[in-house]
Amino acid sequence: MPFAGTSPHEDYTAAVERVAGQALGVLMDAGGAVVPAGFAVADLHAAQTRDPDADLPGLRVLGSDALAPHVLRGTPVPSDRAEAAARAFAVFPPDAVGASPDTAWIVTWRDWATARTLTRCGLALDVPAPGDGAQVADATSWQTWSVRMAQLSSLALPGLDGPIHAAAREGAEALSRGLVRSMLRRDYRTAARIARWIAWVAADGVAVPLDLAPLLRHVRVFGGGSTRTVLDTRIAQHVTGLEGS
Amino acid sequence: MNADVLKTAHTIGSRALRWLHDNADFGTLPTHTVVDFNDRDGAYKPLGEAALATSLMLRERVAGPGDLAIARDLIDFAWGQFQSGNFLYERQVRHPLITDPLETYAHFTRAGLRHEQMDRLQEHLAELRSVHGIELMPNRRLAVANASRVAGVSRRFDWAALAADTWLGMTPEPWVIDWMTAYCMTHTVFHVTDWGAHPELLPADIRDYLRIWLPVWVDIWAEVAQFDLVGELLAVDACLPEPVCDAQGWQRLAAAQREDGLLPRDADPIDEDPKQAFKDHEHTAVVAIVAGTITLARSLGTTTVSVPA
Repeated sequence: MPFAGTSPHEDYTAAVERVAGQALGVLMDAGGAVVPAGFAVADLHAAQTRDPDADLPGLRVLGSDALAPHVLRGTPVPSDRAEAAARAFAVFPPDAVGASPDTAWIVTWRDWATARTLTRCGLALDVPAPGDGAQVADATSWQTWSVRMAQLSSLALPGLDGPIHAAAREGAEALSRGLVRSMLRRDYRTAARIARWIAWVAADGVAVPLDLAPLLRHVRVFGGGSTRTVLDTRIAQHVTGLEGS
Repeated sequence: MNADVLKTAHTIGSRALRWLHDNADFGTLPTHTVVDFNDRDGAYKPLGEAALATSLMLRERVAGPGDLAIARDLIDFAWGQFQSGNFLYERQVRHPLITDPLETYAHFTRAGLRHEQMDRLQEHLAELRSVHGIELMPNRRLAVANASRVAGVSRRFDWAALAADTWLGMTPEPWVIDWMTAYCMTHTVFHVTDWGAHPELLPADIRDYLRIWLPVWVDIWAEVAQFDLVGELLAVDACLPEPVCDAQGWQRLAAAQREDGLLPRDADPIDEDPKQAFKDHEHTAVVAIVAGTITLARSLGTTTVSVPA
């Protein structure tokens, strides 16, 4: 439900932040949504009670990231949550999420990740097959390629594997360069997303030339990001932590 | 390194050399200059830097005969400004614990220009524990060590320890570096390798670290048009056993260089006054000559300078 005086875009942005906060709450075992200091999100619970569909844009945009905390913590996704995530696909089909011809394949892969995650919750989601991932191998420079991988960061979850993941394993050095480049450009959103891949390949046993823990902390301390960015850093941290468990 | 990069490096360096030479008269020491002058960066430091760049050209001899003649002319000019070394000698006598006379003198010795009293003075000072204890930033300690090595002063240094003490020696988080620290980093590499003469002297951990991160730093400082620093970073690339940077950095410099050879230090407007323009951008010319020279030399494998024991 739109808030008075806000545009649909602002509502969607708020929904993404709100759902990210909820996911963060699950990941941090906080017993509720977590809003990082400095990020004022309007009354989380009130928004939920006002309109049961208020979270759908957030669930659609975050995709597998909204459910990832349950996967990472081994806790079941509440059935109403899983159903809402599936319903978000019906309300916002792939051609409604603003993909251009150049980026449609990225959306397809992200939807694949969400569908695979929902399958774990016993929900089948009909999404297009993502293809062979040739586009991701087709990048010219490490700069461009790492940004492309950032757009695919919601695939960087334990239990998911495929050609994009194979490219990440092969490209650990390019990812690392892209991550440091994003940090130095103070593009913390991109940095956090690339860090997800670094965490994934490290957990997979690939040697990476970076110590991720201080970097993730730096992203959180220097802020400038969003709840969603903080969620990315926490997921990355959790994924890296799996390495020793 | 591909042929296009080498051609670009050569062209940029050659044009920068000619611009530096054409404008050398803007960089003379004022006639009233005495050893205690305060304006250390006014003409003194630039003359030393011109001596550095030209001494490397004369060391490597990868330039054409015309450029080599200009390099010789320019270093002779700088040596003349320093009264054939007397100025440096007097400055060191007046201030035994400052290091810039030796550092400046070392560039001239590369080109065979020596001052007998200065040599004796340096041998004496090198024996003093007070001189060993001079308080300097870690990368500046390496500058002194390399100057001593190049000038042939018989003082021994623990190079591994000196390198390990620097920012770069810690192989720190590459995502926390600023402009000034980047310059310190480049100079650590320059001094350890004696400006690309000895890539093999770079400690393995530093070499591996730079192999991964140097291209990132070139990228981000090229994006914000810090041409002077980009030039230094490309010079660092030429100091690695295997250069890692692609052609983009060089292409950015080539696109920024003016027709007359002036390479701007950054994206700020260039002063209309040629003297001010010289003062603002002479360092970048030096950087371009150094980077171009050692890039070509590494590629052609010409460096034959032996490492003193």
